[in-house]
Amino acid sequence: MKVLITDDDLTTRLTLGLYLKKWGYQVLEAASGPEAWECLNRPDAPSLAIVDWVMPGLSGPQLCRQIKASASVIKPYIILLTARGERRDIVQGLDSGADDFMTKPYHPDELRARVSVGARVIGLQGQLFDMNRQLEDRVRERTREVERLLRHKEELLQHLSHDLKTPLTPLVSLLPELLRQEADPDRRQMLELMLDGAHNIRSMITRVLELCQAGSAPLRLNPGGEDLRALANSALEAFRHAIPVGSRDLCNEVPAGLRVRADVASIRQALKHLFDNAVKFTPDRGRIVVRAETGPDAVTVAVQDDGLGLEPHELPLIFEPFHKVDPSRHHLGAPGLGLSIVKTIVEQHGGRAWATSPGLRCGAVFYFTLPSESS
Amino acid sequence: MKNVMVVDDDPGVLNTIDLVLRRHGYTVVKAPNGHLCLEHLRQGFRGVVLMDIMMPGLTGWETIREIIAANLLDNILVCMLTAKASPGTEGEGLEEFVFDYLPKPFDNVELMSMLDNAIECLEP
Amino acid sequence: MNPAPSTNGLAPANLVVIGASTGGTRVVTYLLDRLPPLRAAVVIVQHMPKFINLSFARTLARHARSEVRLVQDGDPLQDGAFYLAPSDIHCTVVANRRLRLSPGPDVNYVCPSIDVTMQSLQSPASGQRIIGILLTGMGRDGANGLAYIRKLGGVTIAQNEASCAVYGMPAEAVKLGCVDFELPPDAIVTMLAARLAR
Repeated sequence: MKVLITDDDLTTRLTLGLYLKKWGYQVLEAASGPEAWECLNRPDAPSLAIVDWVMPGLSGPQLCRQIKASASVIKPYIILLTARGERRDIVQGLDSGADDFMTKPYHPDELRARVSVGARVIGLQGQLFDMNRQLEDRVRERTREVERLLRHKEELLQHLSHDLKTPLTPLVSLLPELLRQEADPDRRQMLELMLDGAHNIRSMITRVLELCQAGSAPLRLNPGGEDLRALANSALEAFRHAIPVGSRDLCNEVPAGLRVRADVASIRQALKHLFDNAVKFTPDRGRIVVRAETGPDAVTVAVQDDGLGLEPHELPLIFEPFHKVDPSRHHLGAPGLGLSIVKTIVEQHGGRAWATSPGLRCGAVFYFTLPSESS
Repeated sequence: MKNVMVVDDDPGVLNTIDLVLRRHGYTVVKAPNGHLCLEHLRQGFRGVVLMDIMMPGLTGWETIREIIAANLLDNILVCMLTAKASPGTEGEGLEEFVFDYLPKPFDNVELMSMLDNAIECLEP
Repeated sequence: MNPAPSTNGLAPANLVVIGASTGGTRVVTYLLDRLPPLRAAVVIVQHMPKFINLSFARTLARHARSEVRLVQDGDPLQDGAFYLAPSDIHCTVVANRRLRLSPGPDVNYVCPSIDVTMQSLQSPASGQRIIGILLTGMGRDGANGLAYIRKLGGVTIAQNEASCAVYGMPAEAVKLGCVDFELPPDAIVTMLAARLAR
């Protein structure tokens, strides 16, 4: 083990050096505080230092404070050696960060004992450090494993959905052919049911794929952000064509001039699913409104409908994949993934998504936040 | 002549398209992989080639590259069939060699409207 | 009201550039089948193999209610006519009134490039409208062109996702934030007819 002796007095250094070498330590010497500091910052720095109190340049306690404040992980064990032996000196020395304190003149046996206490502490410190590192390695390894499994799960889902599309082709293609030629009403109904089933599987697969892909590609953000009103408008316009003309009132009440940090394509996708959801649960002639208001560092977007509404206990669950609000709504054909896609996209933007509703048949509001762009 | 070659490694898809198209008056040639597609072209097939993208051996895109290299593009139009949601980047640079693109699973009406358009464009 | 037909020396009253790639021929055919005669010259840049240039032009001519030309170098733009750009050569608009064919390297991996055609347009004369339309297709050709038309003060339309065979080029344009309207083909017909019908 290496020991650094720091003293401006050559005789003290030589005497100390002789003892320490005799006890089997490797000895380095420094004649001043700055010299000691330099030596302690080398890659193979000594792990124990005996430091004199009074030195030109940097005093013993000053050196201790400097060492304790440094960023290095393992700090040397410091024994302050001095002619000052008052209680307040001892307190001041230990407070400055020294690990031990000895007064001159010292007895060699005491010195030997104190240095070997230091060596023991350093040994324990080293063990602790190694154990910590092992633990950290293990945590990293486990994290990697979990990430690998998650990725694997995602790939599996993606592959499965993808591979399911191919065997669906005969069903989706051939059933209409049979239906085209079938006159018997019962058999027509059977074929129609089968075809409906095939179409439902198809739309479910599409959404599973969409959920797998949401949040996996990096966001494309334009400097200066996006105009939220224009973004909402383009999503509304694109959506308007998907529903029968005049069946529901779609309104954009986002104020002009709000700018958000957003990937246009994914936020449009999120809005599409919110509109889709609102339309599904809003009766004909209902009204769907998108609004927004700006907070201290985020913009809150709200999509409001006057449809079926939700019960309080359902609110926290609806953003979970495959959660269906109530079994009686199965006929609405919702595979329960749209809102999970919204959540994934919004969280990738650093925002959050939630919903409120005064209760059943009272409509619902779906909210999400986006970081605002101050430009 | 309404000539269509279907290139797909999945027998279910291959036979389905064959059945549907024959019932609607098309003449169908089946190729279960890219190599057989090239073989049919060398033997003088003229018409629309309906090509799957994900195939073992030669993929759809690789088959198109082979077709271009062998100078067999005259008298055919290639339409792609795919189960992927987005076209991806493997086809970069081949845009002008692909006439149309249909996602699986497709409706027959969609399929035939695509084929009819291509066939009309192929007419001299 | 029946405006006098433009003569060779006059710029067309309005200009429309339609860009399309994979899956586009079906949509272009659909548009020309349903569009009424327009008070505009319509340039169509469709990526396609060269050997079907003539037959595609003929297909379009069978469906359209007005003249369809496979572009030749120097063609003057006239209201009411459709101009189909041929394969393997870039097609530019000179001074908003004439077409030029010029060989050049691929742009966005393609030739003719929609971007090249759209970016050759000039600011519209007063009262003149420029409309850029980007239809289904792989890749990103035409997205910058559409942004350019927007900057010139023109109107930009992208085919909407649901109706695209491949939602590539229109998606790129949407990401650039330069699209005024995202429409399915039937709505594109309605919009062009409402703004430009004779």
